[in-house]
Amino acid sequence: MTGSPSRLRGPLWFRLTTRHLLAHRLQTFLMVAGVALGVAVVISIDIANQSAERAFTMSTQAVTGRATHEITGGSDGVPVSAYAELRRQGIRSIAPVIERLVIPTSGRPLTLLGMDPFAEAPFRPYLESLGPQSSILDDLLTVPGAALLAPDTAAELGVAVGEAFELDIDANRRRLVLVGTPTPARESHRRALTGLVLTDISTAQELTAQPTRFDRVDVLLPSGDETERQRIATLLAPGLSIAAVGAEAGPVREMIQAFQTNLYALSLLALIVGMFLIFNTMTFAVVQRTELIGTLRALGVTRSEIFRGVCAEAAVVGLVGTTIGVVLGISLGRGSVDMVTQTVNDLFYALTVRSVAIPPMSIVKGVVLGLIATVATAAFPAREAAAAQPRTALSRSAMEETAGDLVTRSAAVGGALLLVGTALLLIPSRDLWLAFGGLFAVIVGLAFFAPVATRWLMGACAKPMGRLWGALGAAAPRDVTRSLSRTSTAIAALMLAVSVAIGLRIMIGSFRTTVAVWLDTTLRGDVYLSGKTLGGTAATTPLEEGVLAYLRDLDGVDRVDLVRSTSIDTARGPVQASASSRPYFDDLRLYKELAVDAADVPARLAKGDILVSEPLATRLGLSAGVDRLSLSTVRGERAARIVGVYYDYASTQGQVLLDRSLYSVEFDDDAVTGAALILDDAARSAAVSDRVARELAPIQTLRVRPNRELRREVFEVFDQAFAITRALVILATGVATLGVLSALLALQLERRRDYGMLRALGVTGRQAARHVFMQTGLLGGSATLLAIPTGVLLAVLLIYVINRRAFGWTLHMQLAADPFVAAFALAAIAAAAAALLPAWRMWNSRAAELLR
Amino acid sequence: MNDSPHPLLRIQGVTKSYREGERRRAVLHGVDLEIERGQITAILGESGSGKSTLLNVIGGIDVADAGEVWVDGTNLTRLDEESRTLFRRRHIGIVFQFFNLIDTLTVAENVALPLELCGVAPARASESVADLVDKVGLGDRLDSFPDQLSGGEQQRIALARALVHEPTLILADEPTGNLDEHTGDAILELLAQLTRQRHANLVLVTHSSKAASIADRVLVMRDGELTQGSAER
Repeated sequence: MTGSPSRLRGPLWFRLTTRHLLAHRLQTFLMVAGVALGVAVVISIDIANQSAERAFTMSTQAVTGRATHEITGGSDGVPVSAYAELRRQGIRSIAPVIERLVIPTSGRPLTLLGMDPFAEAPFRPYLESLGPQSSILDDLLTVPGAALLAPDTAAELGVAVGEAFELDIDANRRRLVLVGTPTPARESHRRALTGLVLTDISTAQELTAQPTRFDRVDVLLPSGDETERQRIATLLAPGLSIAAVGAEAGPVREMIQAFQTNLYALSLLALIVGMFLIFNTMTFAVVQRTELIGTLRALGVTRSEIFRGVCAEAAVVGLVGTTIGVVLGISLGRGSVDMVTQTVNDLFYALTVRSVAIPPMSIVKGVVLGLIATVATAAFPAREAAAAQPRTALSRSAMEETAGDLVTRSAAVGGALLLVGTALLLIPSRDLWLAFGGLFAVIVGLAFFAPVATRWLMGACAKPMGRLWGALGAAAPRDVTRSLSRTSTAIAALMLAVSVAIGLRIMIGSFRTTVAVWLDTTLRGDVYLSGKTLGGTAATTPLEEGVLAYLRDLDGVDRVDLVRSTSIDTARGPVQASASSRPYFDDLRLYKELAVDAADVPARLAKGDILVSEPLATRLGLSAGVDRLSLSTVRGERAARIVGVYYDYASTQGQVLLDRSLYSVEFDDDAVTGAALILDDAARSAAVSDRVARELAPIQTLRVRPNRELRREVFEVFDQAFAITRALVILATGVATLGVLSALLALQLERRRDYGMLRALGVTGRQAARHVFMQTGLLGGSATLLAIPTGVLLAVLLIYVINRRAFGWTLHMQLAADPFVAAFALAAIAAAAAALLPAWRMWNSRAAELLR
Repeated sequence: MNDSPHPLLRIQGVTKSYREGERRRAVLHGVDLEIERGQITAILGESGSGKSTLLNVIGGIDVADAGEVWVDGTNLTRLDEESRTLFRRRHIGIVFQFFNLIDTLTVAENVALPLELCGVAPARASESVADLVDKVGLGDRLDSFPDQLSGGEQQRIALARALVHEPTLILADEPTGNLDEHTGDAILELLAQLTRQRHANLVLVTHSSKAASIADRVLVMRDGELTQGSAER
């Protein structure tokens, strides 16, 4: 008989597939769940990252607007006279700005933006809406304390037009009056206004008590107009400089991106574990249909048709899983936005915008990744199925014989991945994706050794288990070996999840210990005072003279150490600086590099040398004893010698440490932004702290904390930063648990007749269930054993490669018992959870059913 | 009846061996065979004699290490895997000892499978399937699934599947090996009857001389070598 097209037609394979999938609902569920969870995690992290990124961009752009350059004057700002002089010289595209993070009586921080409405139009387009509303403009200029808020911000503060509201500005409570709620026509402009408190520049000067200066002057230069920039530069008074906008935001953005890259990488890990699950279930689906495939091949179905059929089946599973994953990912994303923005806020930058965006690209990424991952993973079992001769495919053991080759081949792939990974890690680059690529290759490469390790471990277990539990005991490890293609992938998936749990726990534990030691060496005061800080910014609000006088006269205080935190201009751009009256920098543990004796450091600082923190040294490529950093002092440029690089985990951008007395002279700045009280009796620190806070409240709103509370806050922020990481590890372990469950179900289905025979011979349901637990125990135990060295290696890479490249921090590795105990518990829980259903089924099965 | 000048099947010097651990075990030792059209040929042999391997080589399911296999004028040993599969799809029908019906397809769908693979229109396929399933006596079970049928009924459906696309050659590997004597006899009778009715050719391998009794010609396979059995009948 002849017909036209000779190929396995879609409807036939569709029938075969759908009926198989429906007949094996639990397996189908596991497969779909693996894809769905992987995709959901990737999408949710992407949504959270994109929202944080958007929030950061909007928070910064709302205040910088279209300005191309800005004129700054370090901590002093820009004198009004300097601005006036520039205008007199015919420089028109400039606008003065006062910008502060301010705290309302309740709710999130806002940005106070003082601007000159007449000079503003070219800079911040969202202010165009003020034009026609001339009455608002009149009020803004004439009403004392007049401010504008976006309608949603006004609603959040519970204030209506014409009503007064209060804000903490520079640690002082100030009263403002809402005179309007501008609503620009464009959505992007409306969003930009969210979180801003707009005032006229003179009002902002009053509110911040700086009548003679602005924070900066924004400049709008035609693209590439270097001549005009140079002209402005020559007109500037000493101490003032013009630089491209974003120079300061750049490092912050870099750090946020590094943090986000870490999250992306972790989310990909969940997908990789999901891929192992897909591989496992697809392989099983193929093995289970060995006879079917053999029959089809004997009937004339070609290899490519089998291959396409299996891949198409995977694509269907992938599509369903991905669709569910997208829905799940969006809802998870909404939750993780808060976690991510909170961490960005705590560590890097105070975000005034916190809306959730669902970028279509996040969905596209998840869908593409989910489908590609599923089909690519299924391609391996599909290839196995297609490659089998009809003769071999008809025999039951054929696929497992092929799985025997898997041991050699997977070990070869693992070896190759290890080499590639090591090569990638050895490339001298700061690129984080390159480092993660290397790390993934190494870890996944080790996972590929799971089959060979499993075979070896099971061989070693058979005898002792036989002695302990007789024939059934000896059979358990042999069963695991006999179904190596599935059991070893389940072990690999669980091993990956557990090793990541171990690696991250070691890294987080080491990080915590490092920070604790660092706090011991740096936080030597008993009570700390500072202006209220927002986000990752250092407290830069000066303490008022009354506060300093109070501290000088306070009873029971042995000494008061003062610090000025600010931003200074250097030849390498603006950097955070800390000028300390008595730097405790005599402890060697603090230094990564030191060019002089630790005891000589204070004296060297007093003579003009400086210390730089490790992140700054890494970012700018500075070394102690070799490099100098040119500081823009009021007397001009001074190349300060770097005598040491110290560990610092307070800032990811890095900072310069100077002697305060010298700083006061060189920068003409006597301000103090923080104080540490060393008490006669340290035990009284809580009581003194309470008293100081209470007695200083009428003078200035300050944060007064005893040493212990400050430490607690540091660790709260620390734990918050890693909360999402822990959640991702739990998700990855969940996916791996599904992998173990899938492998156990596979074993059971395959050995159904054997179990039936055993039950017929008199093995009880309880004994059969125990056999299942033995198998799961072997899977979990093997995964843990393999996860331990892998986890330690992962920790080494995270600590010495990833963290260093991402944040410029050196962490000191600590190996404690708890990561290993926790990992063992995790694997045991995962394995036991996976065994429950199969064991229950076995317990309740009857021999006749199994033998049928 | 085909008027082709070629014999239906010609096998020359076919050898085949399998790896067993470090060693290779020879299963076929230079088998030569020629089968004319319109015959039912039985190959009789004990377990392990190589008769199933020979059947697999004839069907292009397995490949000979050496020698040539011609089916209806086509040299299977010169074909690549894909072409061999497509040849088998169109020209060969196979009956297995363990029936090998697809559990998730109904009786009608199982029987229609070769037609579907050959691209026959569903309406035409349905007619052929209904007709043939009726002939094997299971016309009322078209919508049943294999696990709802007895062993004998499953093998009847397997016969229908092997014949439905009107192959030139039907290969049957121990078709009664998994059935009781009475059912086995009935199956053999049906197989012979359908083969003759449809002017097909059948090569049957079996260890049972009773099963071989339906054949026009009986060959004996012993230790991988083929010898003439009883005279042609």
